[in-house]
Amino acid sequence: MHTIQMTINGRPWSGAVEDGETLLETIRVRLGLTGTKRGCEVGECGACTVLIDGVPTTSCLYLSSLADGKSITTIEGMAVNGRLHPIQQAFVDAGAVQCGFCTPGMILSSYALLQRNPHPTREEIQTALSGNMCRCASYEQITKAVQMAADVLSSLCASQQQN
Amino acid sequence: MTQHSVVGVSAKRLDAYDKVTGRAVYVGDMKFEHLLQGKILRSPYAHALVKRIDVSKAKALPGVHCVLTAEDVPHIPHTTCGHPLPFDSPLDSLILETHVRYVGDPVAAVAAETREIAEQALALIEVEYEELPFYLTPEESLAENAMEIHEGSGNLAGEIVQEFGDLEGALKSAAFVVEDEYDSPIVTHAQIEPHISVVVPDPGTGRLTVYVSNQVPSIMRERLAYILGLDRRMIRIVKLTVGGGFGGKQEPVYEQINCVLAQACGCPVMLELTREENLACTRTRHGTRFKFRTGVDKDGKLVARDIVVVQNTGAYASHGHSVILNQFGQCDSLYPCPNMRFWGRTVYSNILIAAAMRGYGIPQYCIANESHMDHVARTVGMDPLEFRRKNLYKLGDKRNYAAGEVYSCGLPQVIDEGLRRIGYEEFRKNPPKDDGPVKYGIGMALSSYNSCVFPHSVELSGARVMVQDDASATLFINCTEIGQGADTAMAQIAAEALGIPLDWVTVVEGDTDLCPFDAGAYASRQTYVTGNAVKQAALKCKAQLLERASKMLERPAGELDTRMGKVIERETGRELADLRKVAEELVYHLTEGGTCCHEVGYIPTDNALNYAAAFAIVAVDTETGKLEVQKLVVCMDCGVRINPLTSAGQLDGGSIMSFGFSTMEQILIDPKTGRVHNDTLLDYKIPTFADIPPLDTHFVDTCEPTSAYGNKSLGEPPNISPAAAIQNAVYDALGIPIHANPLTPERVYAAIAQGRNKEGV
Amino acid sequence: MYSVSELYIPQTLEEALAFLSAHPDARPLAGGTDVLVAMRNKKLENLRLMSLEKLPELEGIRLREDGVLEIGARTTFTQLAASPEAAVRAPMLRTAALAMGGPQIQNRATIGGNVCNGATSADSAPGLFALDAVLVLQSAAGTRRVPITDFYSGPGRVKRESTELLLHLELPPAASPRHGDCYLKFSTRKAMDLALIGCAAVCELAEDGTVSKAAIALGVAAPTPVRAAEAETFLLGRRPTLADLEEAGELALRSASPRSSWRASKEYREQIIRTLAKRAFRAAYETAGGVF
Repeated sequence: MHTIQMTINGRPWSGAVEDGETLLETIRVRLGLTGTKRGCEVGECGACTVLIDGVPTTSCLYLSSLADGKSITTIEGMAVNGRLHPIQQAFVDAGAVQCGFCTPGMILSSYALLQRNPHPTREEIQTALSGNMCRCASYEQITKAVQMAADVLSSLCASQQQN
Repeated sequence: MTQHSVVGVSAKRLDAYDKVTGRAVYVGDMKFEHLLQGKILRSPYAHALVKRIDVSKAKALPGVHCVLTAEDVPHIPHTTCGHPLPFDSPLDSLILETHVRYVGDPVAAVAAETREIAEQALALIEVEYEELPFYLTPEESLAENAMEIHEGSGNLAGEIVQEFGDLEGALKSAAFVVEDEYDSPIVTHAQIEPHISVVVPDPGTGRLTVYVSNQVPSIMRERLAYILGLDRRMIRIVKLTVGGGFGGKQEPVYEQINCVLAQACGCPVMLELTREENLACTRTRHGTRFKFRTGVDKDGKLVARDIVVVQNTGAYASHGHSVILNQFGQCDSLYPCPNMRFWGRTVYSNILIAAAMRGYGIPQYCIANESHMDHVARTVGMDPLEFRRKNLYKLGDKRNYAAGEVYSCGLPQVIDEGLRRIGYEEFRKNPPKDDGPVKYGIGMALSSYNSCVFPHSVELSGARVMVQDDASATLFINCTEIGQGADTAMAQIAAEALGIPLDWVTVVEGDTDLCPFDAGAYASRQTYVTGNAVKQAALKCKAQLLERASKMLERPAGELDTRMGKVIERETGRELADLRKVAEELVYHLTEGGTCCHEVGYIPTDNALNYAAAFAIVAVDTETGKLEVQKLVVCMDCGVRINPLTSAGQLDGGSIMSFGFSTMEQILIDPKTGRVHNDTLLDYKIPTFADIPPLDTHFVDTCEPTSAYGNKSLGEPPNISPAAAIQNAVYDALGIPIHANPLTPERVYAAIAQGRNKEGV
Repeated sequence: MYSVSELYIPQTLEEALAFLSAHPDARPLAGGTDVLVAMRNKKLENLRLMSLEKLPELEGIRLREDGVLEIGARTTFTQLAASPEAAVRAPMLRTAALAMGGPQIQNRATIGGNVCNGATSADSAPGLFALDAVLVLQSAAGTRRVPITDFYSGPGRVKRESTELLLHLELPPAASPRHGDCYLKFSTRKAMDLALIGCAAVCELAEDGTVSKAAIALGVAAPTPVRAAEAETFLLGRRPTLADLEEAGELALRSASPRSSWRASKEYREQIIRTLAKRAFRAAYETAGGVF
């Protein structure tokens, strides 16, 4: 067992985790945050993607003991007081959600992309999200959602700068 | 066409908020105090008898609650096929087997406190097998001295022969006869959410609540009760959010095993498959071999068609033969031909089970048939487009076999629109020159698809609409939402028919204790069948509201209508009253107060056809066989779109899935052992974000008179013609037909190399 | 839950090396994208793991004064792809890094882990082979330097002693200012896929425009990554023609011994080897300034 301290969606959490425990298990079972999905457990589908210090990571291939001192963002950390983040809103508006199982991971990967590249091209979006599989293949709609979110975020950013 | 207020609007999905916030509850997200974890022990052999099984060590492992083998569970031969009664497939399955018929066939099951303990318990079960000869292909299974996989079956799960006109005579007199053989691979749904269920037994009554990720809750209840030997009242199905179905969750797959575990343990059990089990041990699209003989006259008109289909259903029939019947249903809907034979056989083998998958036989039929049509066209010396136009179905044409009348047919429009978008004429006039080893080609393909299963199978859909005292409505359906957007479409239909805004509608669905019978989510039938049920139930409620309004306004009900929460004057649209007030009075009237809740069970009497045309331009690297789809255009006639936003998701997503079918997807089985080689998402290749081709999709406008609002099928049809268009574009680029998919680089290169050898280059 | 008997997280290199000396069965865990997958598939069980997460000695990419590029073993593929130093020395390293898995894997997988895992399909290997990378390994007993071309001993096997840690990789500087490279990965998908064949080429040109260094390295062409020595010798000293490249592609096959598997036949892999070798070297040659 390792005792770890980490930040989950902005809140501190500390507790003991098993040596072989994955972050996916800790998040879903110990923290009860079931928005992070289990799809393959070998880092191939991307459904369990979370952000670790802002970096998209498949939580099935990450031992929880290593999360000590890290800041973790799951899908539950995206909306603030029930208000959707612009990326979430864009997924709704663009029809980028079908069965929804890939959606949490897809949104987190999109968030990380727009953090480092506020105006991605279509190709950059496709590359950045290529580790998140969507069998409904809403890829066209997701691309549009990320583009819409980029526009919203940059205009928000611009209006903040003006103020 | 009347102007609609809610139908035809790109409304946001009802479940979108929950899905983008992680709040949507999938079965794996359920929390229970004492939830055990189930695991299945699977046969390592393709065909064997269990001679001895010893579970004593597994049972003794701390944390194990039960270990079940075939002798501990009901022994009722059944079919898992997810169709309404009566059974239309051989009763060839058992919950647990002592005669295992594929690698992965369940032999025993364990429930334990954790997944890890359950896995350890599996390893402690000792099984002695006697291996039997195994067969992986229909050729092997049907060989003269092959052993029967199911006693008395002759290894045949079903057969159909239908003849029209004089086939052999017409072939003899034809100017050209073209023959082809085509192999379509085994592919699988690969839902990102693997199959999962939670079964909760009621300690007092033993009644089972089964939480499922499934497409057919009503059928699931009937089928599980049968398999378990229980009265149906002892089962309640609750369908939660489904993380992808695509046909692979259109039947009990392992829910029956979970039920016996929960019964044995007396407490809730979760049975969640691993990704490897999802890919290697659930359901697939049938691997199929087609043989065509086609006769055409000197003008290029089809005069004779012989279609022979052999499909590999694997170890158990499941949906088996119905898939071939569906192919028969579409076999002359695009290119009618007076002299025809259709001969289809569904054959057992020792591989995983084939069943329903998006398109139900038609994707494989289309890719084989459309590539054959190109071959015929080229043999006759016609452009594939010209050849198709010459033989194309036109409204009113006679077909040998038809499920219903065709009232709306957008075939000419989807073809014309697609030709324009792909730039067909320009490509033909100025074909791109080879770029070093890279050659270019253009291809097209057409498809048609039913809107339900009428008249072959029970086609009942129920809908109950309950209008409350504020004119809001709750809709109860079992039709079901699996990601395709059915709830939203049904809510739109209810809102439109009632004349209220969409956000006044709440949907309760997928619960057999609460919602009326519905055959479920398959055959692209929901908007066509359930849609009518919802509309009719809503219209009954509306009539009741207008009756009350008539009294309040002292005007005949016939002069009134509703729109967006108001009572209006039918003629002028002038607003007369707030519908909420009417609903309030309807409920709270001192002497005449009443409830407003109506249920309709609707059975269709027609079967509208969806039409689509796909076009592709490809670049083929002739040194490696690698192909790049440079443009994919898909045009569709699905009638009126209830929701254009979610419709686009279906069309684009289905097209990309079809792209995967044509270029990369196939389940590969080790010929030495019968094991699935590629049971991971690394090796079972579905398209990733980086792979998708430039896609241009478009809907043409038609209006289907037999549906609620002019709509026709939409969920499966996009997953049909794109693959065939790509196949034909590669044919065009290389001048060599490739009689199989997927078009992996190795397969394409082999065809190129073989072509070179033939030319003697 | 992985079957882990112990997860040790050393805070210093000394602790790490001492732990390896005391526990030769311990398996270093870098990004975990290979080791954890192998554990899930029950190829490895009840493992004693030692995480490299907290060891700064294994981090970073540095251009040394002697022109050698030092790449820390814990450098992730994302870091490698973003490194300006690596991009200047060998742009194909970026290509290879971005060809590996998908973004989440690139964010975790490390170049040291990729090499020590010993897979012939490792996307980093052909490039490192062609660039004559040298591995620096350390144990409690001392430091050892091994050319990467001597490091692989078989499929999934490398010559890392159980007490050793890979600290970093060294890439010697190009001998000529006119140099170019190229990595080509052949796979079905553009992401989340293994190389069916991977091929890296390096070309350096002498002042007279002849080839002064030709390196062609292949992944999945043999049980370990290999250099195509005969093809290289053939190209050396030439001003290659397109016909020479065809010839080099053929010669590359002599260094390869691809196997038939369900993923691809031997014959098809050979066709891809000859095609990739030719195309990769052509691209490297043209980048170096060579013209046909």
